[in-house]
Amino acid sequence: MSEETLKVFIDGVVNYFRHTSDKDVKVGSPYLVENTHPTVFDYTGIIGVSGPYKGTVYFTAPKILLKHLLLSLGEHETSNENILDIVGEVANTISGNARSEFGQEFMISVPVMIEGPPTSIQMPQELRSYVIPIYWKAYSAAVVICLESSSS
Amino acid sequence: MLHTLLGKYRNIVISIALFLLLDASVLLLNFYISFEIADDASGVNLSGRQRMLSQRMVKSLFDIEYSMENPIELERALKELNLTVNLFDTTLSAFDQGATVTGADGEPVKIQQVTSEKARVAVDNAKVIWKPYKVLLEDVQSDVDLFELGERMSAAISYASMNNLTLLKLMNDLTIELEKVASSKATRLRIIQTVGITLALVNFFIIMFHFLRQLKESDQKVESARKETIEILETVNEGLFLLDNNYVISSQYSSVLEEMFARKKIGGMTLEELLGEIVTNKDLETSKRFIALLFREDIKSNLISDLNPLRKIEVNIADSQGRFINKFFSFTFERVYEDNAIKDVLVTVNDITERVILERELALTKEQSERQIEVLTSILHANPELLQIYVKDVFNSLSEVNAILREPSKSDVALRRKLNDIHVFIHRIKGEAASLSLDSFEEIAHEFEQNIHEIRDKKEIGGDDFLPLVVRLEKLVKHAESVRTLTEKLASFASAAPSSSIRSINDGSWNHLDDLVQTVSERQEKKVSLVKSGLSEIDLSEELRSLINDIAIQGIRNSVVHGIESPDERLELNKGDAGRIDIRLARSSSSVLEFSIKDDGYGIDSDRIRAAAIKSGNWTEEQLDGFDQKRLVSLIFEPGFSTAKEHTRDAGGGVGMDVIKKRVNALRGKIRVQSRRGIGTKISVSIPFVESAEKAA
Amino acid sequence: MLRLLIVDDSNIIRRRIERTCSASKFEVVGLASNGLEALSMVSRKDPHVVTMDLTMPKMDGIECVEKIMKRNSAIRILVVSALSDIETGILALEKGARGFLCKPFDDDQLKRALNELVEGLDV
Repeated sequence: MSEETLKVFIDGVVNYFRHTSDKDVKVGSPYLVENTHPTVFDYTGIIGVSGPYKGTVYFTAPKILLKHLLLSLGEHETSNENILDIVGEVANTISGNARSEFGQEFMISVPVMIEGPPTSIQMPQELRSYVIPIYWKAYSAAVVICLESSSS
Repeated sequence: MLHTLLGKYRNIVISIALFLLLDASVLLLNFYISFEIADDASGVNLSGRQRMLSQRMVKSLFDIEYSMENPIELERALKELNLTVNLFDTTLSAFDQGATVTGADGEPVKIQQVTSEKARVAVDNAKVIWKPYKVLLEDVQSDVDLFELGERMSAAISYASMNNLTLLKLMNDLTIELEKVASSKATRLRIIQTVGITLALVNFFIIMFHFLRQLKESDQKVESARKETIEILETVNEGLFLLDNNYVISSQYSSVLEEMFARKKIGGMTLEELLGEIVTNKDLETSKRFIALLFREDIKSNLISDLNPLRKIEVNIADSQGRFINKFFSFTFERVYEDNAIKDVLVTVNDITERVILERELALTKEQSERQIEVLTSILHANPELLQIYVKDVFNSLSEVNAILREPSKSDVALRRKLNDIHVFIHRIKGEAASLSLDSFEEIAHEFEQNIHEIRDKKEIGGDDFLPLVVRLEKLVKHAESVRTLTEKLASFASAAPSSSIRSINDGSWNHLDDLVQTVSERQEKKVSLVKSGLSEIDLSEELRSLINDIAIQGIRNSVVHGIESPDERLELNKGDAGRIDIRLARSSSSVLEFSIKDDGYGIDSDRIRAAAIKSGNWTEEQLDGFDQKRLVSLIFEPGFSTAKEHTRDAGGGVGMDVIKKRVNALRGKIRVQSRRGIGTKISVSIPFVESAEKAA
Repeated sequence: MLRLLIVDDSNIIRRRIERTCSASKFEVVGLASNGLEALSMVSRKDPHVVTMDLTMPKMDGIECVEKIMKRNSAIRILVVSALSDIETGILALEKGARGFLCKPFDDDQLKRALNELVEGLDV
């Protein structure tokens, strides 16, 4: 896994937030977590990746951040449905960005949105994920990347 | 085409032809008889006219007789007679021989010769009567004087009055007879029509009955064939479908196909729609080109099976969780012919994931063992004890690094501080790797360090600048894991076979302790010499040797890192630039083993212990205020009081003093720490020593 | 007898194909080690069948197949090549070759492939 690959996924999210009314989005220093203890907030949008690398990439955020995100996009209806929608939007942006960056070599799935506990995200237990914190307004979300090289 | 159509539907075609033929002949007959009846009708009319004409002739005769005096009237009456005679004569001979005569409306009418017996008799008799009658009547018409005319008239009238009724009756008979014939023909026509229609109906019912039954039977056959096909398609566990030359999938396909591809309603999809999202575009394009070859008649399909790009293809199917499920499919293609032309291609898809995974696992195992051998050769030269310590050290350092990364920080300043903190760890990992000649670790750590320098040089740092660091971090963790796995394996070999060469490094000389002193002091930029005594002179059980080894390593680390001062400091203190560590093993009595490790360093710094104790959160300042020097020093044996946590630069590498204390206690031994500020530190351990068979050796 | 031209830059492969075919209904009329040689032999010897390697010096198999087809599209070409690149194999068939035999092959495979290739060919 190269930093370039990681960057492609993060850029998708950063770009998304740059288009909100509060453009001030910051990327925190990335770190590793064991997949036995995944980093998950209230809502998560997951995309599957295959190709030279395969695995999972997800965007996870607390409810409060997503509510503010909706508001900053001019959407005042902060229902559960809309929140799931916006998580999906962000995940879509990640996958869209990845598609355009990686081109044909990679296959990127359509995002799946989930609400709640980390048990619903299944990742290889023996692997580690990269967690890249995203700070926006007073809140933090994260892009979590768990990819392994297909050649090994 | 036509032939096969006839073949299949011959019976129905023949039956329908028969039906049409029957209808046509009835129609023709109908026409024919209708014309005949029309002829007969005009015959009846004309014979009726004969009746009338016979009477008119008589009337004309009398007319002539009355008009004798008047030449104009006479001439008119004679002319009328002439007309009547001619008409009667031609009509009669027409009935006799068949000819065309002038009809009532002045148009020519064709009269058939009468054939029926009664009509014949009537005509023949009439002819007999008519012949002399006609002569007499013609005589009347000849241009003669009135007297002669009177003579001839009386002859004609007397013949007429004698035969007129007979002639009338004969003409009447003829008319009746002709009417009878006509009506019998009409009856016949009705019969023929009735019979024809009946036959046609019968034919129709036969067709209906027979062919409906046949249709029903063939429908049933088709239905049961269809059922069989569906049953096969539902139960077969291969993916089956037909593909036409536009790459469109047939409407029928095996149901397992939907499962395999996690798609519904596959029929009618193009190959592109089915495979587009699960194989690469390149594979899809190649496959389409390959399939196009299969539709070419001039190519033998057996001769291109090697070119099938989908013979073993990795597919990625997204599940409901958004994850890609990795599978391996094998596609085979067979031509389907219809009328000797390639109509479709039958595609068979098999899931060969298990087989491929098995193959891969075998290859992977092979590769892993090769890689392990590589790692093994890179670390083989390293002292196993030191290596274990080093790897442990690396893990601790890396988890520290990760913890630093994990702390939330957004500002440039905070990120720069992180960078510095991380650098300390990485630099040490690199330095130690270098001193142990662990090239692989050194290389990764060096890259890591380079990345840090690069980031530092940036004007402004953001979190994403740290991406290369976390990538290297993972690389280091992975490498450390593989080395650890290997050293554990080696250790298990060693304990299974204590006399193995690797273990024997420790057994005799204890030289690895010299290596350790050198490594750690180099890293700490200190000068230290190690003096060992008694280690090789006493035979120790495996348990004791391991314990003493661990105490020695822990003690050496503590002494070099915390105890012994830097060369400059030492010179200032008039101590000589090189520090000294003494390790001694002796029997103080026949049953007690004494082990000590002593340095001439700074002594234990109680202030630092105090600070670390507070930081650990296990003790409050008030508690610590109540501790005397001895109690304070004893804290180093407390669980959770790790030097690694205390001084980040000196990540604990040993098993930890608390563990050592427990092990000593378990052997009913005692552990003592003596320390004098500025003079040095001594750790003494005394352990009850049971004589063993080894002593004899 | 069917006239066979063998095109391969490997001497060993050429000799092997020749040996395998000479005992059957084929008459080997030429051995070429590259596309250019092959083309001139096609003109002089008028073969019915050609076995064609794909990677050769001077003129590769693809170009050679294309040119042979331009001269006489009735010639039946069997591509005999390693399976490193399926696409090139497919390309050769798109250019007019009739079959593909994967290297390495055994004598039986070669015989079977050639027999299949000439099926329906009248001499």
